[in-house]
Amino acid sequence: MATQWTPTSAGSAGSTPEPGLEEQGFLVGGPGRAAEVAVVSLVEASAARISRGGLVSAVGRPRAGTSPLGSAVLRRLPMSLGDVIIATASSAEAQSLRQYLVGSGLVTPPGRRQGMRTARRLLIAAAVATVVATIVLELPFWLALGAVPVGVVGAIVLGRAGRPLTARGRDVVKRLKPLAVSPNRIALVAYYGLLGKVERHHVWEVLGIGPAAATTLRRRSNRGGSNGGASCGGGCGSCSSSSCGGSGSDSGGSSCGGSSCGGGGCGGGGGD
Amino acid sequence: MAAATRSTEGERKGWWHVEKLGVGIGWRPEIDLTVERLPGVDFVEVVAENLHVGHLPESVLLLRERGVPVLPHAVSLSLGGAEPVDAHRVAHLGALAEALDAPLVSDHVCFVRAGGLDSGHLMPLPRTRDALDVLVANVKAAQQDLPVPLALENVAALLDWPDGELTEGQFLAELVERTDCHLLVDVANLYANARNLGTDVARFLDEIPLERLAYVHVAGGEENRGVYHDTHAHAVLPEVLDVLAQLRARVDPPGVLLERDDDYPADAELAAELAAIRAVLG
Repeated sequence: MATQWTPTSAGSAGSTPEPGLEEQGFLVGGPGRAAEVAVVSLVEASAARISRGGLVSAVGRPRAGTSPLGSAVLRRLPMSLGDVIIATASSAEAQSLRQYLVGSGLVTPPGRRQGMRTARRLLIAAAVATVVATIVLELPFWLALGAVPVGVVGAIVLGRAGRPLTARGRDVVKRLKPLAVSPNRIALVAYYGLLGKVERHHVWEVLGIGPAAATTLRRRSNRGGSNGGASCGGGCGSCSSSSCGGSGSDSGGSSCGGSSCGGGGCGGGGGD
Repeated sequence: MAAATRSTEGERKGWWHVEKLGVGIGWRPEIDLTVERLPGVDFVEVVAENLHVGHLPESVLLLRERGVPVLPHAVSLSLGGAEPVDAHRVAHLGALAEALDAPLVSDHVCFVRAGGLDSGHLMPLPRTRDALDVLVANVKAAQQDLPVPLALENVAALLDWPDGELTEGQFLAELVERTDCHLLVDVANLYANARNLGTDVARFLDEIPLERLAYVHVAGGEENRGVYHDTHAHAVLPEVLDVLAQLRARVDPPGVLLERDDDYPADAELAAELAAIRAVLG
């Protein structure tokens, strides 16, 4: 099974290619968003269909030219829309995509983010401790006076350095918004996510996905947990729920495996 | 919905004549939107065991609102089994027929359970008079509890039980004669039996009471190691359409339904298969 990421867009020789749609989705909304893009791309290419109840199934046999993330989706079908997005977001292919974007200088390496977060916490703790010590131990007041701005400025600097996307990655995201317009259906998903809104309509509505299918999706928290932290350019993307939309092929009705996604478990752009 | 009307011939025999259904397709959850969008779908069939009367799929209800007949098709009554018919399964089928206002329901000429085991397959019956007696008794018991007529379908078999006393056509003809049931002729199953067991298609069609035909199933399959498998997951072979043409040469079937249960192709391919069926019907 090939999980090595291959850029989905062409670029000029010797330069980093412009991100493809799945890559764009990852930059804006993390692996969950990239998985949404992969699913919708398959549907747009008539390689998969989404039922009224939200069951995603392959159309015919797998075909050549499918992206690694698209292959990860197809391998899991049939599955409810929400569950296939969750499962694909945590796939080896999604990890490979993250590594590719880190290597491209668009996503902050997870280790560096973690380091920045730790340093920020230590700095804030040190500043608070200094202020407390100044008061309790009656130290010179200039110590507290200096610790507060150092702590605040340092926290801001370290916080910015620990953001999910690099400056280049953020620049790419800024350029995406004008491209995310209705005729460009997959770009809409990449930028806004299926649960995002465009002109007061959910993107899933714009795409013609039924309400029952949309109920299998769950909004992901903007604030990432240990894995989260998307740049969320246009409203944070959707993750999924464990609910299954009316499929059912057995006499006992359908049951879909549970899934969990709370607290940023499905990640955001550049999360680890 | 008027389920059926008496024809002159049927009235004499106490039989009911199925109204024209047209060309349809099996409704499956994976392709619900496809079925809704396909042009010229006159009726659909649902697998009865997959639906719950209390919460029918939105798509099925939408089709009913449009006036599309929805026919429940059962796979688990095990009417040919030596054990009594499961009243709960019959009741479910009947309730579903009423909920969907279906003109008729159907199952298979087979058994699926025995000795507390469920085979998971539609097992062929020995074509003996003893087996026919058992089948007839079970069919009559089921009919008593069903609110609409029952149609029974010929199955695809990979073996013929030994010591058969009747051909498949004779077996079905006598079943109809003794129970007044309708027939659901699956031309793909008939083709499979012709390929694998040497069933004479023309003789089968000549022997069955085509005036009792409710509708026809068409499906795809593939050959694997010399055996034809009625997979419902492959394209319909031209040879299966040839069997449909042979049937059409004898009778104008009230309905013909395309069955597809896996590896669902693109909408256009399903539409093309329906068009091919219409072309055979003329």
